[in-house]
Formats: sequence, structure tokens, C-alpha cells
Amino acid sequence: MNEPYREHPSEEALERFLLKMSPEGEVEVVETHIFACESCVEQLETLETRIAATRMALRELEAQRVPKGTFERSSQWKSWFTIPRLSFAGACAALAAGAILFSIPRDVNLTAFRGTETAIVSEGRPLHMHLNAAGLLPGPVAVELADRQGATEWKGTAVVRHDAVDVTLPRITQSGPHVLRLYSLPPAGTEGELLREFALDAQRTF
Amino acid sequence: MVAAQPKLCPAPAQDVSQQQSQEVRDKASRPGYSPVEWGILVAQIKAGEDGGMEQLYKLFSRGIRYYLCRQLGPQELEDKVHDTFLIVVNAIRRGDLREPERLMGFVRTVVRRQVAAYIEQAVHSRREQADLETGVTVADRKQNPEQEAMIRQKADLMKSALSALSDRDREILVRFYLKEQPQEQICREMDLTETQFRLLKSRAKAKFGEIGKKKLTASGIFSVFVRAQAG
Repeated sequence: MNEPYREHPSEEALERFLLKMSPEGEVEVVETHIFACESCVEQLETLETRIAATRMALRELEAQRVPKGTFERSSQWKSWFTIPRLSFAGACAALAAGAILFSIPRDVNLTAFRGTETAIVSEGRPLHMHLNAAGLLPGPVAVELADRQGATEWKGTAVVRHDAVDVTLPRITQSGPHVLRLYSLPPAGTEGELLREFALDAQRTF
Repeated sequence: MVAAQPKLCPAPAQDVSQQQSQEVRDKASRPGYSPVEWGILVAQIKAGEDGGMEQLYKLFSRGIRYYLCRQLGPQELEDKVHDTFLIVVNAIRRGDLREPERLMGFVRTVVRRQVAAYIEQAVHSRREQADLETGVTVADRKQNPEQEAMIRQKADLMKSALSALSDRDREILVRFYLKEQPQEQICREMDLTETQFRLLKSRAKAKFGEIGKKKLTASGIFSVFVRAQAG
């Protein structure tokens, strides 16, 4: 005679029984067995306690989960404000500021005539030159930047206005003495007349 | 020693065999079901022998008490157990049990009928008492203070084990124990095999046991217990 209820049900079957999740047929087998099996009743009592404790623990953990998640989110936000991160951010900001600063032309006023005074300018950044052009006729002039060997580094044009010439030079890439010259715009096929010469000393500055 | 974080992964063959052997151990840890000569027992009861009555009581009292308490609560439990026995004994004496081998199923049928009768009676009296506005009798399903303390203690132990589980593993337990979703639904919605589901639960259980043992050792209770046993 096949009598499955004479076998101890598995722990899982007992658990399903307690949770009222037993499939059809299993309830009958488990119930019939436990009526006559003291050890399975003991097992059921143990499981009942365990299930109640598991539920209590899970419920409490789930209740903590939402505020914990909120805290984690705020922690993630706050975690950016650590010393290494702030230092890194500061360094990046300084670099960015430096880059911006270096890209802004520096104003240089040159009043000297023909190199009697040497102005110190920054190497590696654009220069906005205000050249003294007193005595020169208003109008366009040629501008030339040459290094210490006399090699032309840059050429351009500018306009004499109100005894001054404003010209923006590109970055000077080599440190050392340089000369900035103003020439009159020559007629085609001829050289312009040297009108002014200014001495510059390009130095690396931070 | 702390066990590795239980991860739910496709179970290798070894895990399956471990799971099966765990099941065997679970069953083996329970004392064997002692075979009963049902024919002799039934004959003794029919004959009104005390030995038969005693054996019947010894055999079924724990299970019946547990079942009735679970279904109806602890109120007047002893009376209900006694009433149920009387019904079984009288039925056997009347010859209602034709096949003695079916005694276990017969007891179940009687107990279930008893439960149904008690519930019907409670509903009936509740209706009458409600008319008289004297309140209602409801089964007290609350745990007693000792049980509550024990559950509280276990829950505290479990929390540390559960918080070590991965979110996915914990979700499985939440679905099963809190939301009471059937295993099939959990497996389907979380793309798990039945074996994976069972493995997770057995691993979690092992973890609880391990943490519980560690806490007992740490608190010195375990060593005191060992000394007490030795002494």
C-alpha cells in the first residue's frame, strides 16, 4: 500500500505547510503525518519560530532600506567633498584659470624710444601692446617682432592713432630679448622706413 | 571563520547533491517514524483496553494539540484535545474505521471536522453575542512573552546574516516570507530555477546557524553550556 504520509516530510514541505503554500495533495500528506509524528511537530515549532524571526528581521531591514537609500544618495553627494577630491578639483580649477589667464592678452605699455628701455613681458601668452607713437603721422604702419638674432617672428599691421599704436602680438615662444619695430607702409617694391624700435625681454612667469 | 557571501548562481552538480544530502540530514535528524501495528491498536481500543487507549493518546496527542492550537488558538485547548480523542475512540468502538491501517487519515478527518465545528460554533455564538452586545470571542494568536523574546533574539541574529546577502538574494526571501509569493512565481519573475531557489534558502539557513553559533561563543554562553555539559 502506498502511504506517503508514513515518511517524514522534507523541511521545505513543512515550511510550505506553515506558510499555507502546499500544493494540492501535499497538505493531506503532511497533516496526516504530523498527527502521529512528534518529531515533525517539534520541527514545525522550530520552523515557526524561525519563520517569525525571519519575517521580523526582513521587515525591519526593509523598513531601514528606504531611509538608508536616501542617506546613501546624500552620502554619495557629500562624498564628493573629500580632501583628495577637493584638492583635485582645486588643481583643475587653477589649471583652467591659468589657461584662461594665459589666453588673455597681457597689456604692455611701451614708451621707450629705440630701445632705450627694455620691458619685461611674459613668455607664452599673447601681449596687447600699447606703443608710444608720439610724433608719428596717424595712419597704418607695419609691425615686426624679431628675436635677438634679428629673425622675424611675426609681422603685421597696426594703425597710429592719438600718438599711439595698439597691437596684439601672438605668444612669444622663446624667452630672451626681442625687438618690436614699427615701419611705415612702403610703396610696392620698396622697403618701409623704420619708425620706432622697442626692446622686450620675454621671460617665463607664473 | 566567516563564510563567503552566499551568491545565487546556477547551481553546479555538487551543490545539488549537497542540497539533497542536506534534505536527507534534515529528515534523518528527526527520530524515525515508529511503525505501529494498527490492527492490534484498533483491536485493543475496540476491546476497551487501557494499553490501547494509552498508546493512541501517546501517539496522537502532540500532533492533535499542535494542530488545534494552530487552527483555533490556545483557549480551552486541553478540552478540545480531550473531546477529539473521545470522538476518535467512540468512532473506532462503533466500527466506523473499517481499515485499521487508515487510522492516521481517520484521525485527520475527525480533527478537521472538529475544527470546522468549533469555527461554526464560534461564528454562531459571535452572532448571538453581537446581538446582545457582549463582545466576541476571538482566538488569541499572539505568541507568549517567552516565544516573543526568543523570536526577537533570533531576528536580531538573522538581521546581521540577512544584511550580508546580496540585494537579489534578499529580494527572494522578502518575496517568499513577507509577500508570501509562491515559489513558482518567484522563480518565474526572477528567472530562477527551483534548485537555485532552494539553494539560496538553505545557504541563508546555514548562515543564520553559523552567525548564531558565533554570537553564542562570543558571549560566552556556549562555553558555559559546554562546561555545564562536561561537569
